Amino acid sequence: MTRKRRIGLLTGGGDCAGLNAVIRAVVLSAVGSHGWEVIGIEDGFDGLLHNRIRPMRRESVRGILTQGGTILGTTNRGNPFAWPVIHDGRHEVIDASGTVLERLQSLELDALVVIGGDGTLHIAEALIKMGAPIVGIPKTIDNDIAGTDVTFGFDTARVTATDAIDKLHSTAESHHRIMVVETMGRNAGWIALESGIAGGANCILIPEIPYSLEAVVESVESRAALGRRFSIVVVSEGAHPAGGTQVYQSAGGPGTLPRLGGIGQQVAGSVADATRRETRCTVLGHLQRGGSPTPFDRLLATRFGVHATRCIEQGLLGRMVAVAGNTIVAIPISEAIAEPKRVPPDGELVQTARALGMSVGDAPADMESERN
Amino acid sequence: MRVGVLTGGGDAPGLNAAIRAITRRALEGGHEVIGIRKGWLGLLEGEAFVLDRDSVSGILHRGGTILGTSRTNPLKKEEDTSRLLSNIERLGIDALIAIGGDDTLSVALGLHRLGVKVVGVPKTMDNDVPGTDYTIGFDTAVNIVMDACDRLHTTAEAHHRVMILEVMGRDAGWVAAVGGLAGGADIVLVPESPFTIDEICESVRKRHSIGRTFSIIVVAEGARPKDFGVQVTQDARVDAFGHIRLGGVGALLAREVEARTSYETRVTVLGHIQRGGSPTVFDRVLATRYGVAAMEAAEAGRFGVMVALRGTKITTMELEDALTGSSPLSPDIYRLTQMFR
Repeated sequence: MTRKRRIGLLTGGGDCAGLNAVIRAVVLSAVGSHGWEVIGIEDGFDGLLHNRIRPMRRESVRGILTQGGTILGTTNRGNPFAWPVIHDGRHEVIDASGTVLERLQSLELDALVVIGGDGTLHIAEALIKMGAPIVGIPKTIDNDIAGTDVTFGFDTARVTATDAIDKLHSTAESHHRIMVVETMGRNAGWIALESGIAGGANCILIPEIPYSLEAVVESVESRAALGRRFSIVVVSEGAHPAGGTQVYQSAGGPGTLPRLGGIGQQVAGSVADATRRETRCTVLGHLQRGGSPTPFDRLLATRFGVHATRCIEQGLLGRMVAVAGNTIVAIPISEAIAEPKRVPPDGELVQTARALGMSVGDAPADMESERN
Repeated sequence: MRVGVLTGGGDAPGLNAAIRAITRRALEGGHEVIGIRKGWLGLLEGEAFVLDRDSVSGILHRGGTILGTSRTNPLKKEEDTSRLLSNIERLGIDALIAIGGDDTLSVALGLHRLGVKVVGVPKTMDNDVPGTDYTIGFDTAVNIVMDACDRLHTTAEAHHRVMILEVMGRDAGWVAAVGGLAGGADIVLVPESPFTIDEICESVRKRHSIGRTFSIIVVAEGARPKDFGVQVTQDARVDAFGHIRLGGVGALLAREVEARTSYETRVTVLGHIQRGGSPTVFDRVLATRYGVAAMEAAEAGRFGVMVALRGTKITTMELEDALTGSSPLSPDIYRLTQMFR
């Protein structure tokens, strides 16, 4: 007797626009096209360990395509390999990965679809090595996953950031001010660079190119010399001065990563001191993660979701769906996440910014030595 | 008649729409218009240029102000005041239209008392000018706050987080209350109603206990936590009008709420995004009506007045009366925000 195939579905890590679109696509294609059962797991691996699950039917995903966030919930603290517990009143970190495998068996899951970013996919890879039947779907606003051209959530984030830069433009111009905008992106400068180019920023600071304060000041002053008495400086949260370090807003704790943030304010303060020009800082923060996904993100998420169920049907486990050019593919997770995808400092995008006369914060002398 | 136009104080979407309306109406009436750069500072420095049909073409939808602005107070020093008066004469300004918030308009009133023929147009995203129902820039700002609430809702819900959104508004709670109401905020904190952090934690816990594992808190930059007894400021500096720069209450609140409830809490400071961008239909129409009304007041020889919106009607009122008292958040709107806790 063959029983209905049953798959599990969870979202992990930071949320982004398009998660609900991918949940919907997985459920509709699994239930509708393949006739499988789908179990939704709440709050990532946390829900798997604590048995917070619910059946997912067509009705469960009705109307969620346009909604940001994730109906399954998520957490940044869901690493089963470093699981914070309170034992005899003391905080401890244990390895609960064995329990995860047991839970997958007791739930009789033929496959688990893990939707997550770099952190969640690393957890997935470790579980695959232990024999877990996982298919990965990449998501992150940071766009830092190497195995795919782009992740969903990124387009919505860059639209939000570009819109913010547009809004800051008019107020910067009125007050003859320098406006510093801090974007998310962790150790990758994609959001800052692309929204900066799209929004016509004057200076863009990204983690991949350590900046010199002198170069930032120079870019502001050279504009002022041309009568352009305002400037927009976009700073990625992971940017840092040459020879300096990144700025963190919190140190992290058991099972949680440190959180970047604060570099915008630091740059604004230094530029204000050096130029004696009015300077203001705006930190975009979580606005970049929220809201309705763009058509691009809805489409990409939907294609990813459908392809993930295809992989399960064909027995292609241990893989991550990805987009290469205009084709959806599935590649081994280990390959996809071996190295984070960062902005090439001499790549076409950075050169495009330079060609427009934008500064990327490096000293002219550095540019000279790079050419030689 | 030669009409001078200036914009002062913080910028707001809709200023260009007002400049355009004043200019077009003035030219229609056979008058000359000159734009004064950088608010009162430009008048001190005598920086002005002719505004014609071309110079105001294509600016209706643009945020900011083509004239530039400043926070200069020319009435602080006597020498500044006399320089300003002589510049008005030298530039041949017969009537001056000043677009600004309570600071700019209080200077306008001061100049009126010195015999300058001045008409005021109320603009501020804070909506805190007594004497008018709405000011230019407020509607665009609350639309941006609403949009931010919508975005924060989805990520708050996904992560079961408390999301705190700090908005502008100085000592008035209009932006927080109206934006928060439209954005479905669970808790709205305004300067008009001091609160304790324990009260807030209690509301958040109560929501959790009925299965609402996330909360959106909109806090005005001027909100007053009783625990600290003072407003939270960015630094110790004051501007030419003696105002402090408010800011930081959101971060403080986030830290305390997270520590006391142990729910994950994040803060977003909306900042200058609220001042920028293309004005909404309401602000464009309001600014256009104000601009035309201001020019018509000048044409009719009614000076020392401010144009205002009362109900659906544009009126003029004495600047003196318009600036008397304060314009706190309406208690009705505050009561509404409290119903959704």
